[in-house]
Amino acid sequence: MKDHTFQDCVKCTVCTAYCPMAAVTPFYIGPKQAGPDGERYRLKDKSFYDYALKYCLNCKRCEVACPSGVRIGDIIAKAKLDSPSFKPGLREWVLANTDLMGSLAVPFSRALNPILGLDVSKKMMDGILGIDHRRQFPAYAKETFEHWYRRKAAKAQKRFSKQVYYYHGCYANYNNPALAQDLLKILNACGYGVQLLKGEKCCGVALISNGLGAQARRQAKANLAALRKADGPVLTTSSTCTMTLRDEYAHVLGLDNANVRDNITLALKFLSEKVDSGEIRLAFRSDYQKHIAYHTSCHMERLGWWIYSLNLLRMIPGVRLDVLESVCCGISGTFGFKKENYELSQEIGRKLFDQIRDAQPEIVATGCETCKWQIEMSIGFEVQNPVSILAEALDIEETTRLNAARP
Amino acid sequence: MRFDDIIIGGGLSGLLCGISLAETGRKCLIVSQGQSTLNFSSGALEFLACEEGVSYEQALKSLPGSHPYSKIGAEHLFVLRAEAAGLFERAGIPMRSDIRCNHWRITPLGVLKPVWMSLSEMTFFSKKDLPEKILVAGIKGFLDFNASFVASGLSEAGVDAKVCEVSVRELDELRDNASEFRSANLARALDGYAIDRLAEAINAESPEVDYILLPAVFGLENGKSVERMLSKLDKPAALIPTMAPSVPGIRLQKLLKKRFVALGGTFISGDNVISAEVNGGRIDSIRTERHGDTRFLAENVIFATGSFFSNGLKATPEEIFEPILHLDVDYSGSHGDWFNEDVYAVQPYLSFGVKTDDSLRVSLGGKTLENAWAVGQLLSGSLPLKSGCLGGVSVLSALYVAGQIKLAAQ
Amino acid sequence: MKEYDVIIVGGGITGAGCARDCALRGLSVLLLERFDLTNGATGRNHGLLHSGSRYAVTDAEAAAECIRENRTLRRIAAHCVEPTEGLFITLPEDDLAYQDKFVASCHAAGINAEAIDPKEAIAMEPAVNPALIGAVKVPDGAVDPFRLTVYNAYDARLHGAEVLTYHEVTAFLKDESGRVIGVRAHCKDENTDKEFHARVTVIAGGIWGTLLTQMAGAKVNMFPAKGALLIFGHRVNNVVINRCRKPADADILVPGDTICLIGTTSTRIPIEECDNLRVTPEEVDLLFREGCKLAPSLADTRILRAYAGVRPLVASDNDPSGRSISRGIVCLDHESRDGIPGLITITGGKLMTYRLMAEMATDLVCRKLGNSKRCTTATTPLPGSEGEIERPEDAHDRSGYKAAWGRHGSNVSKISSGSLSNALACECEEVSVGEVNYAIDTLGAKNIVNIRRRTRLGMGTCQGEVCACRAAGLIAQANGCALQAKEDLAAFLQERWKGIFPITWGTSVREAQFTSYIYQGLCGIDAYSRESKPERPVLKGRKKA
Repeated sequence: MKDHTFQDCVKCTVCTAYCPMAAVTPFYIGPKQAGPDGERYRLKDKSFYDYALKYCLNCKRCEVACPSGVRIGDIIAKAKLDSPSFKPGLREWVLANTDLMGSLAVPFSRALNPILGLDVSKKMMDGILGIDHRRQFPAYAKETFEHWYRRKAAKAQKRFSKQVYYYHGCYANYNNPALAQDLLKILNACGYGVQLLKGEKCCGVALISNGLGAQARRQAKANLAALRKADGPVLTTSSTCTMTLRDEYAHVLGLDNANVRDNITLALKFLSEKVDSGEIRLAFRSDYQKHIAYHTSCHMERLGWWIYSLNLLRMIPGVRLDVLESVCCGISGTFGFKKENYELSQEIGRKLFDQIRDAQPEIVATGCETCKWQIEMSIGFEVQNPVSILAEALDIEETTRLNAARP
Repeated sequence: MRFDDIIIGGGLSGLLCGISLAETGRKCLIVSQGQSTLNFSSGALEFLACEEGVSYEQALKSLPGSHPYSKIGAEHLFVLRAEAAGLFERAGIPMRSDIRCNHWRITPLGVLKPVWMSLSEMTFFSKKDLPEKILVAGIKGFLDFNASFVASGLSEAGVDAKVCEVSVRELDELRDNASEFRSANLARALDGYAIDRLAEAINAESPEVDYILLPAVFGLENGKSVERMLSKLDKPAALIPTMAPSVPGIRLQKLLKKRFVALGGTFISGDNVISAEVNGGRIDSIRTERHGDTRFLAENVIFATGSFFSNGLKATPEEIFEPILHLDVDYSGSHGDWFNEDVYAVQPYLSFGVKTDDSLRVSLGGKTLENAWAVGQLLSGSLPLKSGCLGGVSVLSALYVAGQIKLAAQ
Repeated sequence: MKEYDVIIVGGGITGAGCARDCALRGLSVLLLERFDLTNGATGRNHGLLHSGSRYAVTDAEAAAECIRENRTLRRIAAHCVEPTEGLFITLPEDDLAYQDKFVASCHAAGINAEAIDPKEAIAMEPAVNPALIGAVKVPDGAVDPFRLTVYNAYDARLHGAEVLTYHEVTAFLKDESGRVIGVRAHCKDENTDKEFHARVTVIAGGIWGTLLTQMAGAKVNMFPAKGALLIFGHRVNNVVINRCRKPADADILVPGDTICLIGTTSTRIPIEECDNLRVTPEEVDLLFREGCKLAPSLADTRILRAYAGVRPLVASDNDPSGRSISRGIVCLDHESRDGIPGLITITGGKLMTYRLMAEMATDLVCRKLGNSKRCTTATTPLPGSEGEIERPEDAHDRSGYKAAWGRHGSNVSKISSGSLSNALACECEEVSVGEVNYAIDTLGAKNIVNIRRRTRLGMGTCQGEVCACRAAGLIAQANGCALQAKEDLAAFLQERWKGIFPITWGTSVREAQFTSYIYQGLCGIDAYSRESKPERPVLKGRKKA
């Protein structure tokens, strides 16, 4: 699949003004040079601008800014995968294989989590792998969501006449099954049963950004096969997984996902639309009072789907909502974990951190798990996915009743 | 999702229309495909090119009936010019303007061009009181602003202009980057003490002048750096826009968007409206590329999609069309007639736009759509570069349409 | 007054090649060009390094010349040549039988042509029309005619030649015997007329040679044939693609640097039109349609420019009607032909055979001057192509370095560095400030158009929107006159527009509107646009040209 959008670049340079990386380092040649400009030269010689590709966060803010529809981030991501000299090392392999790491870690999480938190282990990872010692690895859950689901929830889902699928992704599975359980709680209350995909794999976003193209393609193909088998909507909770499944598979990996793309939807978009159309009715607890600041993650900004999160959050009577200006938090998945990127990552995030400090919310809401790690680690504010906020704010009993009473 | 008004296009006209509507509590959605031409603008708005002593009312008389100004009418235009000033003020954007006649700005080539309204830190002169001695300060290694070009233009206008080149060490590391020593990057680096030292360096060069001009590379997010810079200079000073991107333009875009959002507006970036549903001469809803099946419903739809650059119009070798709905477009002849071989002659394509009635309602297949308007550069009938009405048409058509919608809602 | 051994009139590839050959043989040389080097047909062709295959069936002699020169140029002008290989494809509507004849003719001319399986051709060049039914691999390539000419002239200067651009010959000076003893030329730098004397004068003016010989009192019948081409915004192919059939319109697609181009058409035009060539909508349409047959992906590739050049077709002396046309080299000794001693015309031929043409003309000059030195241009590399040059690694502080290496070969070391010099002036083509200054100081550029030809500045997809103003700033810095630089900027944008407006649709019309917003709206460049004057030098009084 040839991406010809680079030829629509009219050299207006506006992307360079909105690139969070170019804003903090003088060493990045910026999205225009690394992207559409570089692409013309790479058609002649693939080695052009190799050195620049590692700086791209894949935040896609250049694409959102571009008035010409140039998929700048995709161009750079693809160049990275095709680059003759961009070779992933052990660290990249470890960071990118979230699935493998998660399934190895969860059985030992009780022992592992404290170890991961020890200064000595952080120093070791810093020294051996180049993972910055100031980073806190997200804790692993005691039990994966999938395991819990099979054990506790699978049977109960069958009683619903309406069914949806859930692509949970690595984070909800290995690190935060509570998020997935919250989604189940909401959907069940709204009258929907939740099924898991058969053979879901990690979406592969970290593989893509770490240059592991072949493995990313293998996993993507497995996911596409699983998605094709789904006979109902596939819901998600992570903005990054969603963008990867819907857009990156086609645009970066060159895979044909046309027949499943529109079926993959953020759970909050699904709910928001069903509520707007009257198919679902929500009832909220009167005692839920929270001051929430909403942070639009980069990939949520690219999707444009933050409007659904805000729509739902604004329905909660006890919520005071501050909408923060959409800026990059700086972590960019695995980027911020790398030792050489730590300072850059923090510098990029500063603008967000300042906004949060100014707002002083009780909870920061965001649809991205890595933003959560960055914000919690950097400034200590509690961060939740809006799904979890909604689950807590809902009057489950009343909601269940409202939706069951309907024909 | 339901809104009162949907505005397609998030540039100057779309944002002003949205702000004007949202100020009366209407629930508005702006769908923007990407950053707008504001990001490359001069930070000034022109109304119409005419000499300083000539009143706008007089100048308007020479316009053809097809010009958007002629449709709006001189009386409305007078009121709307005043309204625009108030709107910027409420948005916290300091502007200087004269609603009766032109002032002049100095371009990056040192040419004097007429303006109606301008960000307060940009040049805004009466031709009679141009400073006698001006220092034009360039920044070492910054290729998108050439002080000698400005100075030579001023000399042609009879000003005693001299140039200097300054720098501060905060720029040294950035200057090593072969491609990114751009206006916006400079504006990020020029902050706090860097500004003070830059001002010192310029002051050292300026004992004998009575005015200082420097490139607009201050204050990407807000006006604080601009104020700091100007306050630290020994002489009165103003900024001149640079080649793209435009720092004052980017700030203008950000502040207008911020105002719109603060008024409760929803602003979607990086998305394209792909279709609109028309029923009984009205647009019921629109759909966008990224939101797929989601329908956005509204009472009114305003096309603020711009001209060719902004994809409001598209050209093929055979036709010119409006890509969302194939609205009726004003153009004539074939490809050979659209462009003039002399790049500086009148270029007919620049006057193409969608057909509208006197209320600026658009039409489809010859039938006017009741609740759909066009504003800004999408309108046909103006020659924005030749008649110097680029910003004015955007601002005033937007407020004109917003006014009609508000009136109808009362 | 100084008397040169030889004056060469015309700064195309032939003139530059002659100047170099003469200088290498120790002659004192003056080259006069009325505009800039490569302004005529040299700068307006395919940039195809012919293998000769195209002529194999119809003109065995030309084919043999081509393949010999092809091998020579790969050696002596390596930095101007891209050894891409070429394909001659047979499409379903073509006669496959022609392919055998073609291959046999190539072999007869000494061209290593090899019929390959269509599948292999697709593997070799994925952009090729997959419907092809036959393919022949040939040693075609791409050559940059601008740099080839500029470095010939540069080397001539290194060997003592003087090169004066913007000097238009207005008369030939003769002594009482009727011998040409020099020329009078109008110097556009200083707006004065000057006389130059030489023992021999060589006319190397391409199609304009017909007017020059007329001026000298001789008559050479030439017929201008316009050839139109389209430039696309990026390379869709990395291998030259030709149609395997009798040479026809729009059947060569050449990748060159960052772009690719399709050509050409062939239309006889009157000589008066040669200075102001227009590409018609019909030509654009034909080129585009035929191009898509070679590489279907051209259909959704942005067209950047349309332009045209003029081939000098020379009528045989015994057929003044012009029906019998030769594309071969024509070297005329006007002493024996017309009784005008001291005057030689070298014309006909093609870009590929410029060196051979120069050798023939120089041999004749040497015979007349009693110089017995042998020609060495076939073995002496041009400056930039000496020895192996290692490809540099690039980095954020010198983004343009690798691209500049591709353009200037080992001369890249002559481009100044440091943060001010490394800054990119042109971002599409990665041309640094240092490279622009090198073009001005070393390669004789006198205005932005000249800089463009020597560096590719302004040749990328934005067609000067980003870089023109920066380049004008560097011009102002070099000559100290901002006003002239601004006028040159206005003229440059007009020059770019001339190639854009025939193809303004899609992204090109967006780009054009953006450029006009910036330069006319934001900057007010209109104030500096002068009535359409012929191209002129801005950097005056610079000795090095």
